Amino acid sequence: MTNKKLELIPDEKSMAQPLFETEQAHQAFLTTLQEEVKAELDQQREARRQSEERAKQHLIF
Amino acid sequence: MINGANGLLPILSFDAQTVWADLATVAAPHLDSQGASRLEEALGGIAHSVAVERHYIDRDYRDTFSQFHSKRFKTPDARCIRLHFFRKKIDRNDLSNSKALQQHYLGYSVIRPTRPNCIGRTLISPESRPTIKNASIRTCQENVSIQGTELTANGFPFISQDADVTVCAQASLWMLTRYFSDRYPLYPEFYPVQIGNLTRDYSVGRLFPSSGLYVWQLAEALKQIGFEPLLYSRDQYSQKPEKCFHTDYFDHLLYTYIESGIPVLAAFHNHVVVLFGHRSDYSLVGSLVPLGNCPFTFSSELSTAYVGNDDNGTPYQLLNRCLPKKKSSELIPYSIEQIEQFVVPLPEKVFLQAESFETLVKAILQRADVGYQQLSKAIASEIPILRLFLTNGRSFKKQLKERGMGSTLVEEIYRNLPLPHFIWICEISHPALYPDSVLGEIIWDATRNAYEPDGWIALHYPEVLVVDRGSALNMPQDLQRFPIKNWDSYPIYRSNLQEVK
Repeated sequence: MTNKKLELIPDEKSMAQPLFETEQAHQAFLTTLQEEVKAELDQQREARRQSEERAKQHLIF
Repeated sequence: MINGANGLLPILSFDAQTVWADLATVAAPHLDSQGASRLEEALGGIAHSVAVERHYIDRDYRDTFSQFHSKRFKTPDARCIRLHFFRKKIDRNDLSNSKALQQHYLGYSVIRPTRPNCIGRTLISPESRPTIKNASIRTCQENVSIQGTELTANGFPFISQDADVTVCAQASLWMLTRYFSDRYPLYPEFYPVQIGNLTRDYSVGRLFPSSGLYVWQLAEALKQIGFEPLLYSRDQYSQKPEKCFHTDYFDHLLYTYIESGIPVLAAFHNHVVVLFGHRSDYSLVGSLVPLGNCPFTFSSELSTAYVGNDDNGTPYQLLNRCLPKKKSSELIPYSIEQIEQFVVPLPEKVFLQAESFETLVKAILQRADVGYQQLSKAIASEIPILRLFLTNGRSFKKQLKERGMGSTLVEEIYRNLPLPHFIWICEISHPALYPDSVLGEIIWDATRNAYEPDGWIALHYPEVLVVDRGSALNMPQDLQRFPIKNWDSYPIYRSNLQEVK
């Protein structure tokens, strides 16, 4: 049985439809989502680095 | 009344003649008056009987004795005393009936012959602490044998520092690691000297007697045990509320991990405690207002205090938003604002951190194609409240039947859907429903990279379920949309934390 034929629920094909009508629309969705979040994710990566640096100076006794 | 004062297991019952100070006499020389006072602060008025188990060999203290105390000229006793606490007065005959005794068992505390702090390994019930009633916390269990009578103790491990092998850094690490080894067979048990030795290759100077640890060494010790710790520093997460949508972004992230059932190490200026629960005021849910231009609110805004163990205090103290005006055994003597850093002991297979999941969720929910304004009139009818947490696929599936998921279709699809070990979930609710019920959720693969926008597993609004058939079957993303005809709200997911009764 190939993955393409596997069903999440019986008679899945009659109940579900693709969220995007074309692969082009799907790719556009992924690209724009990636662009929307990139700046914030970059900022988080830097915050992580700075937090690790700060931990080198923070003594607990 | 003291029964069998000269025996190996005296039983002390509090009454007009017998008070907590008498416990220090019965448990002498191990228990000093300061130790007895701390126990009274933790259990006074709750415990009505104490069984004093003499000549108890405690594995944690024996490790410290062998590796450290035995090397001194004057050595303390190699044995301990273990105190068992009961919520009603018991007599010796009760000790043989484990089923009846279990109902009254509050837990135990090992008393070491160490000064200045004698309170050793301790596991007592959170129900012994009225101040944390209705709080949500994480606990573990241990089996206990009193002269052959088997009992179960439930709670979060506590220990005080011995000021030699352990100071607060190692004591907090011990409490955290003992919780994990008690709860999960995956994690081995570590004794105090072993905890200290975890940083042997990352230290300058001698390890014992300890002069403390840097926060990065706490993280390094956790890494040695098999965790993948994350470090958060307040100065990096202090954006203005209108920009980050949270009153206190750093606190929101701390809440998110605790809501995920992951105990964290919270570091103040030079002290550290373990936090493993929170207390929220759900009566405030109707007055929550979104911050900045954010269209939704977050459950973290309802949290008023954390529950934690401070090795200088007693088990189950509250860490409030405000600094305590006076010293109290019920409160950690700091405020939430004074937490400078926290360390999250993430399991190995959680690659996506909380803030990145939140970024992705905020973007999805506000999009013109898959956002709730576009796909769900039900959610858009009010300001949604979001609750973010990490859980595992197995626990999530275990509760599907009980929760119903608002629709038999959703329940069936979720049941069949292959899930990763860990998943991030963002539950979507309305103020009128929260904290009892939700309307939908976003499920995201916690093993994904934040920069991969196709990490979602499911997007469930009341009227529609979008599932990624692709990732479920290890193929490229294939988003399928299932319309939902008859939907309802359904119970919130409760598995990560337990409410204190």
